[in-house]
Amino acid sequence: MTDAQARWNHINKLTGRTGPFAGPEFEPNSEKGRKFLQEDCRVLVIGAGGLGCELLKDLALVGFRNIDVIDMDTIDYSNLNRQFLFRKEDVGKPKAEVAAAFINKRVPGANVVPYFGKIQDKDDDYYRQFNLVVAGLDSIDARRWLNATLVNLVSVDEQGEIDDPDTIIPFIDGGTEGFKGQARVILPRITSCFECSLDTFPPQVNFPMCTIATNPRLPEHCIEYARVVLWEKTWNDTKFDADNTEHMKWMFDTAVERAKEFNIQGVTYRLTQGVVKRIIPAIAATNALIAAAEANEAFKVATNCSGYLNNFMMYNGVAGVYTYTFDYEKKPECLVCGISEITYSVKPDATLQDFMDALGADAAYQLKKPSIRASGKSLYMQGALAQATMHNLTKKMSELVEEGDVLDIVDPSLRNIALSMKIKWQA
Amino acid sequence: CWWRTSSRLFQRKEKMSATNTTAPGKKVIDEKRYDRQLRLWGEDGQRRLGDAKLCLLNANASGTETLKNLVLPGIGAFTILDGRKVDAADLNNFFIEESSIGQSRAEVTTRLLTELNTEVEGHAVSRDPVEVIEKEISFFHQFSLVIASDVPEQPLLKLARELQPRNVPLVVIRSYGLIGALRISVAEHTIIESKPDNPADDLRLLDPFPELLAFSDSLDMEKMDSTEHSHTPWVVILLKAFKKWADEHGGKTPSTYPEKTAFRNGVLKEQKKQDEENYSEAYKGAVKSFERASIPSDVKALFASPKADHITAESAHFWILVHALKQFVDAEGKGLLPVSGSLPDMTATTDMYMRIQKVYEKKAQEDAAIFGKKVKEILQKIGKPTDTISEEEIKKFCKHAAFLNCINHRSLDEERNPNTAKSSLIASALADENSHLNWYVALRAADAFYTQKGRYPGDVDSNVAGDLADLKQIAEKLLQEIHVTGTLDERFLGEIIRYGNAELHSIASLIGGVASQEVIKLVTHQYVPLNNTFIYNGLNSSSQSYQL
Repeated sequence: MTDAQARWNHINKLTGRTGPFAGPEFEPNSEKGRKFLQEDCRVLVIGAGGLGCELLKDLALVGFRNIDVIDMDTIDYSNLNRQFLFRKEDVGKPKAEVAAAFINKRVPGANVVPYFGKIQDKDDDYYRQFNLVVAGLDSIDARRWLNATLVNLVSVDEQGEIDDPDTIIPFIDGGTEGFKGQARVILPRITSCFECSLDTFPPQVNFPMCTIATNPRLPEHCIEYARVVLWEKTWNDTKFDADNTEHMKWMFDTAVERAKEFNIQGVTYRLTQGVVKRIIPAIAATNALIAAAEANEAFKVATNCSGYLNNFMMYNGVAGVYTYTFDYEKKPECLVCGISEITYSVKPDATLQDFMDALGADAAYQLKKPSIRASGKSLYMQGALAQATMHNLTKKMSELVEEGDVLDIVDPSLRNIALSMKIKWQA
Repeated sequence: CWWRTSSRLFQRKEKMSATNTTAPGKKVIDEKRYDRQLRLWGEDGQRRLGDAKLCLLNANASGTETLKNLVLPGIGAFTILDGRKVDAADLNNFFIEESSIGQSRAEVTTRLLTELNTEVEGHAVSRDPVEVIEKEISFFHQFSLVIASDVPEQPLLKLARELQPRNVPLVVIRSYGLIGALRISVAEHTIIESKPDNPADDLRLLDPFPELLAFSDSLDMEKMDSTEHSHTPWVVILLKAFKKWADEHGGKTPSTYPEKTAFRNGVLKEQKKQDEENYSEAYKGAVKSFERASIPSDVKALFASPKADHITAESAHFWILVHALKQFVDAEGKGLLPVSGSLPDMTATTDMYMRIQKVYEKKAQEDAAIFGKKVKEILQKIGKPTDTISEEEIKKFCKHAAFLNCINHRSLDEERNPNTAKSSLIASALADENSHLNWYVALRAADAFYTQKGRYPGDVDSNVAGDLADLKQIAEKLLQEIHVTGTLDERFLGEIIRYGNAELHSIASLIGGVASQEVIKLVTHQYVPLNNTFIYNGLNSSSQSYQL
């Protein structure tokens, strides 16, 4: 294997030479810099899709060797326009495994270790092993979970001050959509975390039911009618599988029938897929850009050779090339890294179910499966105790708690963090 | 014989899949593979990509990363022009295999790029790009777009001068330590589908055409039942409200802030029930409706262009269409563009929505027919067959009339000429250490250093200490030549020396992403390309664009 000095010519100029913008703690030493990058540093890449393929390539080519990658998906034919580590023959295989194999073959010395599964399959001890986490996820829920995990790993004393900086694992995150994207650097408990910005990703708004059921006007309404109303009516408990060609064809044909009824034009197979799968347009260029920005930050964090992204960069390529870089401030009331007690207003006549629905719809909370206790009693518990606590769902809040009571709420999105929520009556 | 061309063609034909669209004589589009990108630029954009023939000068990492993002979405063909042999330092490049050290860099990278997408044609020409520019510049005439990476300034300027008059876009990419840069130069780039992020609706509420007004008048909201009332489109509500206001205010429209507020509150008061969704839509819609429809500035600029005035048999379709559009605006349009016919969704019964949609569609069709007639008349006048411009093209132009654009990039010579350089822009940047133009000047100085000494500053460790003094002098001279008062903060020069033209893969990949995106815009003529310089600061992950 060529490990001749010449191979590292480019990187050495950054790790082996200082410069006016290098920063005071930087010690130029190409040997030491390379040793840490190649031997000691462990990076975890989350996702081996559009961003993930780019991340793996970039990290391997700036010198990282010990890279782990997690992805729970298998390869789809429509991935091939951008997920360049995969070929036609790979369709159906696990992304993490194929991606790792390709990088290991192409980049001498790279040691990418794949895991075909969910991020939730791994425990805190697993995540502790890494010096850096770099993500290319396509889901808000997954980001929240990962964020909460990493924030939780930071050791703090009773006053909430960090008492062991080595437990801080930098979390570099990014996302793309069409010609737009963003990249950010999260230093858990130091900078804003992902949850601090949760309300900038409001929960998806669906079309109102009366539009879908009674007054459809657009082809999208017809498609949603097939998906939301007619599927269950026709197939009962069979869950709709968007990757099943038969299921998708049924959806398309049904939407066409519905559209005929109302004389609505425009239901195509592509539109049907787009609506039902919530497809987001994606190209290699934007993924390359955002992943590269992330990998660049990872390189600088690992080598200390320069300043950093502080801490959020937005990108828009629709007209010209535009980025906006700013410091996304920590949110004091952040459910994950902020103060631990919150006050929440609720109508005394609202039922427990209403309260839980509100927590789900509220952009700042988006708690999908909360378990709630108050004064030592279980009000509603997900999972095994659901049956036993179901009867409380229809009770009024005023029957269950008093104003000033503190509820303990846990939710899968927040991992091990329990919220303390003081109840206030809304007039 | 100086014809040392080694040109190898890499291409494998792929079996057509059942999900491809076919048109007689046209290349098949793999709809399933390209689904996610077709949603951005459609089949028309995809065909243009498939027809493009690109050239890349130098297959370093920045160059191959740019090509990767074009091969994956199905560019028609590319040629790599590169005279170098692969060495160990090239292992910063994904399209180099360790086993290929010593081989032609053009051939190795072409092989590994075409492997990504067997529909794409790749050619390798193992020649020094500088030599081709000096001795056989006509080589570049076969391409529809040229990407230049790591080309020294003087030959680059020669290349630019050759491409400019032929209107072939030149995309200059650069990855220099932690700094990335991109420069686009094309004399004239026309756009029909600029696809802005938040396009304004074309509803004509303040200037309703007769059919629209008649439709609104035909609805008596007082006589409606509860359902009809709460499902009457907000467009109708506002049409009636604007008419009422005009009647009560001598034909005027709400113009001052108090008037607009009164108008909007007046609309809300008409609600019969609380929370009628269409009324809250009307309240919100009113804000956007106070501005009279007008010709957008980009379109006005087209009308003012001499190319739109003097139409000959040599005129491009675009300018013929602009000329016809101008005629329409001056006559039947009464100062406005053809109605686009698009109606956003709004609370309404299916029936009501269909009816109002038809009103706009019918008017759009009528306007398009008038427009089409004018186009044919012009074609006749210049002695061309009336079907020279297809119905499809005419319809598309008409529908996107509000989103037309034409970008004229300043040439690389204009950028550098002391009489036309943006001296005051650069001067004010020198006073601001956060300005990305500081990096621009530093890179220009590095280029001038190369022209003088045949190497980049700080290229090897032993030159680092000594090069600063020379580079400073060169930077001062450069600024003086373009009449810029002030000096470049020496820290920028020091950092440039540190980099010694190092190509860090992360920066190369980032610039590859930006450049490929711009190439796609230039080839598809959709969305709006950069005009004309982009500087990425990888120290703090920020960027700035300039028109230099």
